[in-house]
Amino acid sequence: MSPQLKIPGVAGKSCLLVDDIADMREIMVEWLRIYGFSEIREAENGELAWQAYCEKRPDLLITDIQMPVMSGTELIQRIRKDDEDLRIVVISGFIGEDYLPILESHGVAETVFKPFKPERMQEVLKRIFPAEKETQ
Amino acid sequence: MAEFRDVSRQLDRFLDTLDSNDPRQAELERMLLRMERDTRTRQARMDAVQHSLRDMVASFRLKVRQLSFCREITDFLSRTRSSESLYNELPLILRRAFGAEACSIMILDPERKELDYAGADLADGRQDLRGRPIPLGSGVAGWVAANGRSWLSLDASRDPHFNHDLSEEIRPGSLLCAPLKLDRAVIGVLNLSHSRKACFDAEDERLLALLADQVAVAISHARLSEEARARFEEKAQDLRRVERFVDGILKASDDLILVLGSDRRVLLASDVVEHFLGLDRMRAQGHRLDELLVASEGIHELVANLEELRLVRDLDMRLVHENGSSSYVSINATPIPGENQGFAGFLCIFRSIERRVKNTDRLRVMSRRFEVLFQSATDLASSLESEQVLESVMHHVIRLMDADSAQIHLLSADQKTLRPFGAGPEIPSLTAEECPEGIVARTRKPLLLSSRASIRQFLPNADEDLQSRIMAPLLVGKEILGVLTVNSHNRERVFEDEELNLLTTYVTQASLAIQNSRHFGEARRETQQLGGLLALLRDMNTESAGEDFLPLLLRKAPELCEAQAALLWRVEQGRLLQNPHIEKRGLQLEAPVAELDAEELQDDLLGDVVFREQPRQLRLDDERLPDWLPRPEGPEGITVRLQPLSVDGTVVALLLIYWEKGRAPRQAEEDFFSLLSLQTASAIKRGGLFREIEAAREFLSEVIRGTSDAIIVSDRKGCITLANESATRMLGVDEKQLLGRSALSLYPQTRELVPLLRRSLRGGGDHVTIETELQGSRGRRIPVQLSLGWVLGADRRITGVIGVAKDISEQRKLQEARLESERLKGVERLAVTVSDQINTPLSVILGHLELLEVKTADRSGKGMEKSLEAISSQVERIQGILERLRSIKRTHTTTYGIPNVLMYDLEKSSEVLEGESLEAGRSSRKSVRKGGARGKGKGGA
Repeated sequence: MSPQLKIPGVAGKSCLLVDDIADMREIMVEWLRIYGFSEIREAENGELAWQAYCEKRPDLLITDIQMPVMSGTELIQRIRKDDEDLRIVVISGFIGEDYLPILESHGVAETVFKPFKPERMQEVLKRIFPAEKETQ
Repeated sequence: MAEFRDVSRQLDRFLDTLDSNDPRQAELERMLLRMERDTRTRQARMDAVQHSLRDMVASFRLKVRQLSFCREITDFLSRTRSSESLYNELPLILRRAFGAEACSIMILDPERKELDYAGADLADGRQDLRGRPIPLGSGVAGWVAANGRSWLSLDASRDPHFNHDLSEEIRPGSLLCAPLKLDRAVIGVLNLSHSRKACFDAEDERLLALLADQVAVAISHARLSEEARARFEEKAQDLRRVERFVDGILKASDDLILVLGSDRRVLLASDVVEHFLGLDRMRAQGHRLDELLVASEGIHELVANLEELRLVRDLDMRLVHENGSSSYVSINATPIPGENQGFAGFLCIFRSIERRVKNTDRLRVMSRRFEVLFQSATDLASSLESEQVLESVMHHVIRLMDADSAQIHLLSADQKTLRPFGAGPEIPSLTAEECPEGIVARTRKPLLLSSRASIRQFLPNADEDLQSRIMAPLLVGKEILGVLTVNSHNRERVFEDEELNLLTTYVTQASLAIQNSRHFGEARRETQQLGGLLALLRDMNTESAGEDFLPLLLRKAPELCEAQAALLWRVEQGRLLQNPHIEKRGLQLEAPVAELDAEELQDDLLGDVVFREQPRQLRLDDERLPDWLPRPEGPEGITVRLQPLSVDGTVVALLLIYWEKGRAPRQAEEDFFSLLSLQTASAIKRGGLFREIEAAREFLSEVIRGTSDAIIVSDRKGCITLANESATRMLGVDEKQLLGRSALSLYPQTRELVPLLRRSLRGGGDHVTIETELQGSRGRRIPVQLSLGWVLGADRRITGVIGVAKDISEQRKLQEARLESERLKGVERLAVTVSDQINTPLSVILGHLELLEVKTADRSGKGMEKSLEAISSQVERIQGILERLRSIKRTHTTTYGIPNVLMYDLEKSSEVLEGESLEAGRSSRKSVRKGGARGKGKGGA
């Protein structure tokens, strides 16, 4: 695999991926592993994600919005009551412009609209997890 | 002689002592001897004389004895009045007198011509010949009887008259038989016999004959005496019968019979003298008539008549009794003839004319009573008022009974007290002492006190002038209403037993009238109460009554319930608000000014009434009653009813009603309270409803006036009767042009409308709502939403149709705009849906494509097949989503997960092919790895 695909900032980080579409979670896991996350867990709805979160706090939460049982919005709101600093990236097929400020107010770091290429996610992750050198 | 011999012996002894020598003594001796000789001579003469005298004396003694017997016999005969005694005793006397051994008396039976032994006396050993009749002429006795001459038989055995056949056993020596003759007729014979012959001499015969005559007279006298005695006895018996008869008359006679002596003293008096005069017979007898009847009227006239020995016929008198009472009699008196054309006394018969007087009086009284009864019946039949009936009863019973006063006591409702009608003391208990009215009420039997003694016994405190009283129970069937008392203060007017029946009869009539009047009074009272109640209910039922009727209720309730006072407390949440309203009708009643909190007071009574809505009824005499309960001053025995008035289970007012003693609410009033309580709630509710309806009516008027909808009302014939301003404005015509016009002319689409109306009618009159057009002026058509409803009359029959037409011209425009908006929303939702459903597979595809590029650049080729397969799967999934979108038949939306963002739920919105599972599209990673059917993701098919 090309070394430039690796994101230095995510090395040793853990990620919790939440999407009700199994194929989507599968390809996303592939890429996140490529980017260098040391631990990737996945959940198919907000409720299972909350349980996984409670078991072990991740460094990054990537979540869809429209899901059965518990939506991504509810999951974000619940986590925010527990942790205001967790980095959160929303992936969604449709979000109105008027809702973006609301997501930002909940501390959502980035919103990635489907369909998206993996490099879009890579950019986002790089921005969230900048390399230490660049930071320095 | 003995004395002489003693003297001679003494003389001899004396001579022996003499000295013969002595001359003197010799002389004396000689003289004495001469004297002795002389004496002896005289002695001999004396002896002869003495012997003769002795015979004479014996003869005289016999004669004397006979005479003595004769005298004895004569005395016997003179004193003997009984022939039986004579026959039994005379033979003994005769036998002893004549020295016979047997004596008998034989009486001739002239019919049989035989002599029968009537009596006999026999010496011991002599045979009794009694019982053997001797034929006339047979034997000595028969011969004597036949010849009427006595017979002396010195030797009966040789007597030719002696009948040896008859006297064979006797064989007497001597017989002496003398006839008993009376007026020369022989009635019998006396027989004397002796077994010694020649025992009787002629002197005996002569004496016996003499005695026989006396015996015959004595027998005759005895017979006469016996006949006289028999006649006397017969007369005596007759007399005794007469005496008993007279005594019976005197005892049994209703008339006073006085038998007076010539001095006008009472010899005999009948028993009724006690009834008339108060004296018993014994006391009356012996009095002079004018003394006996001194106080009676008419006595002087009677005495004057008697003095002149005049017959008295039908003289009326008034006899005065010892006790002062009097009785009227009619007298018949007649002199009783005495000896020598004199008079022995008077017979006076006093016949009571009480009956006559009474009969006359009775007829008069009966006539008057009949008149009174008739008047009373008429009065009672025409009297309905209880008081009027009672007064009428008292008035008429006084006249009917010829009484001085009357009184009615009515039994109280609790059956314990007798209350006088009008003035008079109340009888608190039927068992009270000295309470004959109570006895009458308890026993239900009339009571007559007809004497002062009985009045003193039953009524010791009664007026002294009360002479008589009758008390009768006022009965209807077995129900006792009271007691009617009738009094007489007149000594002359004493009620009698027989008048009990009259009074009882009248009382039956009066009782019925009293009860009818009571029923009428109750009915009228109930009618009045009902009328009052209806009026009150009418007032309460006025639409606007609400709670305003409570003061009216307070004012009316005591009047309707015949109560003395009423008090109304407003109640809020268990608190009796301050200053309750009071209605006084004869009772002084004050209520606490301050507010009373039932919860704070913790009083069971108040709790029952205020919290549990239980009406209570109490007597204020009960000392256990709480202090908060207002008590009127003055009379005792007040009854109070606490009536809660509630609305929907909450007491809003407390009504207190006070009744005087003995007056408890009747059933109708109980019903009244129940109804009142219901009506209170109803009225208060109705008041609220009325205000709501008024508000609603005003609102409706405003709505009708101000609404933009056209409202058109038509009658049964379809003619328009009402159209509001909006209707005239909408149609472009004025109201006059609309009224009376056919409503159908307003609806050009009649073909659609009429079937709908018919269906509505068949379906029970549902409203019909249709979008149609109205025909406006100048051919203008106005699109309207028309609601048609049926107007129903009070009898639920259709009286017309009301149509409300809403101009929907603008609405249609808005509807079109809304449809456009909805379409835009659908597009938006579709966009969201498409974005949601397709962008994910596209993201997967893009991810795999990038992955393929990476892998191609690495020339590893590892995992390419898997990516290609995934891409293919996602393409198929997109095709499935598009297929779903094409097959949407209905829209089911779901939230996108973001507020206000909706999307279509493709699974519910599109047809589901049989055998397809929406879950299949949501295949897990595991299923992908196995290469099974690919999940179709969101909305995947």
